Amino acid sequence: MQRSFISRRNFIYRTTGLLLTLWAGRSLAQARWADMKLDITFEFVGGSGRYRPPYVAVWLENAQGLPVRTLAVWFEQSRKGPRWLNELRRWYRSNELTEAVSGPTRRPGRYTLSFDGKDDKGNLVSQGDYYVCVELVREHGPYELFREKVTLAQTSFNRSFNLAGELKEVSLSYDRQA
Amino acid sequence: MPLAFHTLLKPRSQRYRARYEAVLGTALELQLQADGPRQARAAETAVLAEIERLEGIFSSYLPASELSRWQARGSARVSPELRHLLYEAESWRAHTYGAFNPAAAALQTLYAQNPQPGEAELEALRAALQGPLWRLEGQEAHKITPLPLTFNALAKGLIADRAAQAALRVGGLEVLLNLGGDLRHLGQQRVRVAVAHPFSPADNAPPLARLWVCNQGVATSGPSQRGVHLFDPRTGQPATQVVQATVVAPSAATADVLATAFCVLEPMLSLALAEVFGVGCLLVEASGQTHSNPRFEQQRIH
Repeated sequence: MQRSFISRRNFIYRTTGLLLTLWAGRSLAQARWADMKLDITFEFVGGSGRYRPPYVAVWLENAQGLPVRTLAVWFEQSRKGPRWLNELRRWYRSNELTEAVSGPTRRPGRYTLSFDGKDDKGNLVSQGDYYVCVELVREHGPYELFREKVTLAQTSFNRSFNLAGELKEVSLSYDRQA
Repeated sequence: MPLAFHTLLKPRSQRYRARYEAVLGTALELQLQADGPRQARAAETAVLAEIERLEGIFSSYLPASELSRWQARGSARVSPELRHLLYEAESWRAHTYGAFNPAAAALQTLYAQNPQPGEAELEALRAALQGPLWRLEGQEAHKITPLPLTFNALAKGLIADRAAQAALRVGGLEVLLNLGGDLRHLGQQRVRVAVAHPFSPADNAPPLARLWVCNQGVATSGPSQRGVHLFDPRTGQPATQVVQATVVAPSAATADVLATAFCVLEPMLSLALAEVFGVGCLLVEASGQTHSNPRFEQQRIH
């Protein structure tokens, strides 16, 4: 018959084991995301008069260049309509108009996307170096890629980039979450 | 197989979406339900043509617009559209106790030149703002005030209404038009509308509220996109108590003008006016406190 009791030796072994596990875990784990957010504001310009927006993708890559979080993929349907995509009837919900946003009058071509430290699966990423990517293309038109390394840790920053192309400006603002 | 035959013969209406930048100084998003690509394209063309036509009348930015030419001359025979705008503006000015004032842009100009204007200067402008601005006589309109007039807070909604109606005339079945945050819906199927959050205005930030809208206009005013640009024409001071006002009304024109007025008026007065005009409203104070009326709550998605 086995009896369950805590002997002095048993206690010392277990406590040492627990402490070793905690210590190993602490050194392995990287610093977690520190309640910050990164606002990516970009502005594209057209010629004079109204223009169609270009195709735009905005995402973050980790230090190895692997995608971590997609913030936007904006594309326009062709003049022949949303061909084939609308055949996925349930997913496309072809009989419903999509949600529109009412807000104070916005400036044309200027958008802000916020990164709250979560990857595509909704898990918080760790602090470290990331690439902010803004890719822009237009049919038979310009192709532009903005890719900038930033350190997302405890220190907040504001950086602005004036660009020469259709993508005129990108500004990055990293600060505490309100 | 009568059901299958029926679905084969009847064209399924499909939704279409088009976006444009730099329309009336903002962005345009047009969503349509139409029987086919041809009808959708016709509706899109009609929308763009109607916006351009009305911009040529109402714009205060284009020097060649009818409004600009009328202001330069001081008195002239005006088109039915411009007469309607002047008539509506005068009546909204009275109904909002002067919170909507087509000459209020003069305050913005004054504060841009000098953030702390002198009391005498301000008093003179206040007096000019209270006076009559123009006089309508038959088809003639006479400008009385020397102050420049802008009708953006009313014209944008009016244009959204007219452009949406133009789409419906040429084959649009359901229309949802978004002119940089001022919306007009026409059709039988209700649509979802989100209200931007005044304190986190990022395009992917969670909205302040969501609501169902059917055959209505929705407009939102506030400084989150363009900074402080709203001044109280009654006092001459910047409007700072309310940071965002959203109005749901039978038309985008009514929603637009009341959203602007509700950014200036005291929240309790706005709520009372919303009952008078039978519109829904959602107000956000600088402190973060929000107010809404039962009509807004009825349409809200929880």
